[in-house]
Amino acid sequence: MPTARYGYILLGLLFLLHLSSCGQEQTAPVCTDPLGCVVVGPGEPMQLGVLQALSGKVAPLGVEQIRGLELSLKGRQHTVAGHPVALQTEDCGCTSEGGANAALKIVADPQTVAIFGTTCSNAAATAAQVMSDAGLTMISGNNSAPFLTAIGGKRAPHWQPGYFRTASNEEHSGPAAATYAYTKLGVRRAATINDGDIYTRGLTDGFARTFTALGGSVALDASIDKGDTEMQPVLAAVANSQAELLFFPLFQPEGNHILSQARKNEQFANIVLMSDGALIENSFIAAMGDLARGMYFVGPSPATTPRSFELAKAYLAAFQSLPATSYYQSSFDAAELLFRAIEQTAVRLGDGGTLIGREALRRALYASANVEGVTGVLNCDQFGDCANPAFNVLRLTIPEEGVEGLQKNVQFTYAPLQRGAASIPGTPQARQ
Amino acid sequence: MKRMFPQRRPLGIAGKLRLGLGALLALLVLTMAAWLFSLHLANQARKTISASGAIERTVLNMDRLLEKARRLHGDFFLQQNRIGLAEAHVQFAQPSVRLIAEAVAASAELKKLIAQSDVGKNLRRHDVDLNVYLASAKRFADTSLESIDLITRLADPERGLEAQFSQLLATLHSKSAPFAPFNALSMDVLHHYQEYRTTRQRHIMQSAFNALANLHNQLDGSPKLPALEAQNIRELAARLKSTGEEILAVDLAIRNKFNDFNLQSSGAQPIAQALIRQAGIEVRTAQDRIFHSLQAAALFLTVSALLAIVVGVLVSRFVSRAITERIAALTTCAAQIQQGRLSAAAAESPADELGQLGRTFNLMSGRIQELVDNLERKIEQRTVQLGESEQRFRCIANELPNVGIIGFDRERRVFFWNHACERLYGRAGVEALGQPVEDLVADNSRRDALEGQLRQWIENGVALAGGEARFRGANGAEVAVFVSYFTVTSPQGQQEMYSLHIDLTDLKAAEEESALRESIYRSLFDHTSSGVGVLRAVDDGRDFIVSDLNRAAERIEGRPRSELLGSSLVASSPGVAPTGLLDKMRQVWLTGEPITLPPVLYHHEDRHRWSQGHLYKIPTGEVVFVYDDITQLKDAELSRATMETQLQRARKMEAIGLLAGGVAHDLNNILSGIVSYPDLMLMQLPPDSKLRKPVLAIQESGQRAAAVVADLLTVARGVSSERRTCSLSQLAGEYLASPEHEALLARHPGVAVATEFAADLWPLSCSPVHLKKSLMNLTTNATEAIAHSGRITIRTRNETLEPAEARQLSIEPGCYVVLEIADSGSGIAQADIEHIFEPFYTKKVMGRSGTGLGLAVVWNTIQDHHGGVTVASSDQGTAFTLRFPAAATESPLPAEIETEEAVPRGHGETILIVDDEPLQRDVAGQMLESLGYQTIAVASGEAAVEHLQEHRADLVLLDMLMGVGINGRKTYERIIRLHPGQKALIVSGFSESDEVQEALRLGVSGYLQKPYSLKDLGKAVAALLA
Repeated sequence: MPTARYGYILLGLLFLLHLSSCGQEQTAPVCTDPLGCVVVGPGEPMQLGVLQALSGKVAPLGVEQIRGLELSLKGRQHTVAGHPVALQTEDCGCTSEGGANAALKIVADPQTVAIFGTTCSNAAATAAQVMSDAGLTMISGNNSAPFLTAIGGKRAPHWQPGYFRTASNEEHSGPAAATYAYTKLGVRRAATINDGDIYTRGLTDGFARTFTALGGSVALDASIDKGDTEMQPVLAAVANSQAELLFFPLFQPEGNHILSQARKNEQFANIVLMSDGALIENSFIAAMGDLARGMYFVGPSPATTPRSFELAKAYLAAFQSLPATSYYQSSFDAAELLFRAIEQTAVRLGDGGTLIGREALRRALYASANVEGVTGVLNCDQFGDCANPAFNVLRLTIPEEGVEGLQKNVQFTYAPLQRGAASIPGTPQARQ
Repeated sequence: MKRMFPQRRPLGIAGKLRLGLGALLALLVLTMAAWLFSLHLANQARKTISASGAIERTVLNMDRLLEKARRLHGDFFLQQNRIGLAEAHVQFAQPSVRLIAEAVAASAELKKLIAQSDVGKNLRRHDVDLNVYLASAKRFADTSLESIDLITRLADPERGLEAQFSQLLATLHSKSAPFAPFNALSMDVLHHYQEYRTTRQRHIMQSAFNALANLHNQLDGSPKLPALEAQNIRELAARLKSTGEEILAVDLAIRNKFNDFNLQSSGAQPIAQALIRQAGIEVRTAQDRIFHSLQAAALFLTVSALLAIVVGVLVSRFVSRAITERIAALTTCAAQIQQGRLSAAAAESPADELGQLGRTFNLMSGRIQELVDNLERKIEQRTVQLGESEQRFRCIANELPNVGIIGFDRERRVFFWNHACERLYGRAGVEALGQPVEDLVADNSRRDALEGQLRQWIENGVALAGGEARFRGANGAEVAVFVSYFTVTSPQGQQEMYSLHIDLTDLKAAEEESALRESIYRSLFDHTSSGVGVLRAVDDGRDFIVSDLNRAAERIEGRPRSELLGSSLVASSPGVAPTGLLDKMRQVWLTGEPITLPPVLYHHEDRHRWSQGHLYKIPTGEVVFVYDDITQLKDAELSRATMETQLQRARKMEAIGLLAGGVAHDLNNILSGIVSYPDLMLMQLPPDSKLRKPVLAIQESGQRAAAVVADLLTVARGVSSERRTCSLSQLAGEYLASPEHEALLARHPGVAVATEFAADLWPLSCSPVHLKKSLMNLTTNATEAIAHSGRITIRTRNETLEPAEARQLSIEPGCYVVLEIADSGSGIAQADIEHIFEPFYTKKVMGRSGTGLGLAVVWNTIQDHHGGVTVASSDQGTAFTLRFPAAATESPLPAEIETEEAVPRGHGETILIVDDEPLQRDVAGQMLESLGYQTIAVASGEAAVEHLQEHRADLVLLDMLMGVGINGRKTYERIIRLHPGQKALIVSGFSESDEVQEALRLGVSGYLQKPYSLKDLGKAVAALLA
């Protein structure tokens, strides 16, 4: 019967059509996250935004951050939550506008899961606002300005939800320097110079607060602009202030100019020069050379965990060079925390894809506790600080030894939140 | 599964046509599809071009707006020092903001364009860049506004930081002017500040701060300056420093904004360029696509057209070869077959419809060939058979015994003369051949006529009718034949005339004999005394049509034969069906078996007839009904039965009458004491005496016994002859008002009595007493028939009975006054209704109360009034309808009104009591003496006559029956000889008998029934003596 035959053929076609439509009838994943979700398709890469300073004198710091990230990815075979990781790297410089503009480029892509950055805290201040408004999460292994998270246990002015860091909150860095200067060096008059951004200003404010509290006086609190090269007027002001110590937590090249012009100023012959962790960097030491001899630096205590040594080896193997700074370690920890949180948050979909809730990712990071990091045990608090702050006052006595030699020459350790914190023998514990 | 793939069948014509046309259609569809697809592609491409163009324009516009806004923004910064902040706002800042707003709007439009438009996926990939571009535009807008605010804060001529600084510096200068070192330092500050304003380099301002610091230091160490002034200068210096710091911070912020602008521009411009470039690429790609689509469509259309031509040619060739040529071949084959070439064969392959048609053609031609061959064989056979048949029929024609056949030509010359003709007409064949036919068969008187008829027939075709004819034989004898004429066309085509002569001699003889027999039977049919009807069944025997009926039937039916012939039995005799006669007829018609019918009553309207007969079926299929009218016989039987019934009743009544008569007189005499003495006793008892009640009870019992006796006498001897004109309604009303009726209702409180009296009721001549008694008896029976509660309706009406109705009621037709008593009781069984009027039947058989004579009295009353009574009863109740003949127009007497009046008393008149009963003499004497009369009592009629010979009496109270002596009538006869006109009052225990009537006729003044009460006696005596 032709009619029956045609009927069977028609039924078969309809069945095939139904089967094919079934495959297409996969329902779209339902996102209930209040900040939205990122759906990474099966086999598609997981988009990660990277905001670092990749130009100018601070570029080495940015590069170290990226290397820490790369070391973390390498340890994970470049795969997070079953997806390869694609990095969208933007140069935010070390300016607030640079951070904002670079962040805009990152957040423009709705597939971006999170942001790794920034290098400089002032860039982080604007970038954090942009990314937080976009519902993203950002973690930095380098930002240390107190203004980004908390000051004195209270929310800082530039705190943004979704911002985390594994670099120590340097609200204690200035106090560490002030304490050392007052108690160890016997300095009673000090001058500070910052470059106006929240990082350097935070350090000089912290120094001034503690120094004044100890009984000292801050004779001069001056500022320069990033990019300034003529430092004589401000140095003259320092000299005129009769300060015994100049605390200038600046970045390169401003720090370089201050140092080099101060060394040329006879009035600075007896003025102690102290800077911050931004200049604990081989390029600065190499550039300044002997001019930097005898200079003090206050910076985060480098990690001395077994993992940190392994990481150092891995760094050497991966990049065929010694680290310019130790900040790759906190960068590594930042990357590890982020990837761990992504994997905790990722929801595997039926088609092999992954759904990541933005709010869920933030919550996972805020809930990170007792995570064994390279730099120590990491606990993220409500303001986004994940590292236990500990600062060393270092003195550069042998410039040729570079950062490594500098970091071994610990004059003072200041760890206000750690009990029984390690310290260099002979150096007093910082006052809690 | 097997059914899915059946054995492959050869493709039919329809399939081939479908295949060919399908191929053409597929090509057409393919061409159309290609054309439509091309159009679709072109349309898509046009849309893409349009969208890409719009996007390109929008991006260019946005970019232009942003660029212009940036220029204006930059001009604002540059020109605000020269033309003033306010003017710079108007000329540059505000237009810049407006342009930015337009750019932001354009950016939103751009986003919508990319989202909604049909752009290519390459352009869509720039969605992220577009987001960056849009975000940058928005940021530019925000940053631009912030920078304008910063500039305003810095450069406002009145409240700006620079203005403040200048003012403070001026103040410092004015204050320090008197003091050279301070003035120099202030000038130093001024110079540095001015330089700063030009260079905007921080270290210059720092130098100014250093100068201020020096000034501050010098102030500390200078004794010349008054403390207040020094303090003021210190404050000014401090304010200058703080203002300077603010200027530095704002300048730094402004520079940062400009840096931000640069970053935005550097980020946005490549994106804009990329979008513009990509849009251009999309446009070009779309244009290329259109071009290629059109090319492909043109190529495809060309190929399709060529293919369509090729396929068309192939299809047409295919159709031609598969269909057209083969049809032509079939047509040729059909033509050959038509021409008789049956050997022509059509192609049978391929086995499609045409192949089947060819095969069919071949089969047909083969079959035709076969049939032709068979036909030729059969023709030969038939020819032989025909010859034999011709010979046979010639022999038959010749040898027909009684049928002569004469064949003659147009000249009427005989060429065929069979043996029957030889016998009929006495001429041999050789003699007849060649002779005119009219000469051979007709006599001289008819010859010419026959010749003329034959000529007319032969020459003019005038039909010559056949029929009986009387020809003449050779010997002159008449030959009766039935002749018919016909023509035959010979095999040679010549017309031959024939006449057929059928010998009617024997038939005629038979006819005559049959006619004779029929006349005999018809005479018997018409003259028999029984009715004979011949009926033809119709409607399958449910009805019959009267075919014939004799005179007796005509007489019995009472209608003329002409009216009944052909009529339907059911229609002409509507009442036939209930008689069962129709069914019997049908039975006879169906079975053919005769039936003898019992007496059957036909009753319909005014036709009432008893008939009896029998039914049988005749060979024609009709049914014959032979019947006699036995109505008179039946009526006589009924009358006899009625008379016998009446005779029996009369005998019964006579017996009762004898019995009643025998005992009535004695009973009444006995009852006189019971009825009369209580009157005397009551007269002497005080009104409150306890003995009154029992005495009254005794009297009432006696009266009831007397009533029974009276009924018995009524039944036995009939109703009194005293008649007067009454109104039945009046009589009924009198009864209903009587104490007896009231007592009856008191005994049956659940019974309601209603009356419906006609207003114009006719009067009647009747015995009021008996009518009231009948009404009382019927009302009593009706009341007793109602168990607990019910209704009795008493109606009166006029009724005129027609003969038929009267006959049914067994009374004479005329005007009647009807009294109807209907109750709602339990009814009377049908078996009892026929006997309820028999004396004692209701009491003995039906167990009713009373004397058992009530209805007998009613019956007698009706009979004596020459009326009629009917009873209708069911379980809903019983209705007695009494019909009394209406009287003439004499008005009825007014009703007798019984008034309670005192018994008239006498005045000493002398009354002679004549009675053989001592009790009667004593009762009458005491009564009369209590009424004031003087009485003399004697025991016989003879004694009374003897007494009156010597004495005189005012009144003689005379008993009728007095034992062995003379009765009252004879006694009165003798008395009036002595005293003509003697007043006398007959008293008797009988009803009014003939003796009483005779006595009344002789002059007796009145009659009083025993037993009588004091009042009855007193009234009767007073009436006579008045």
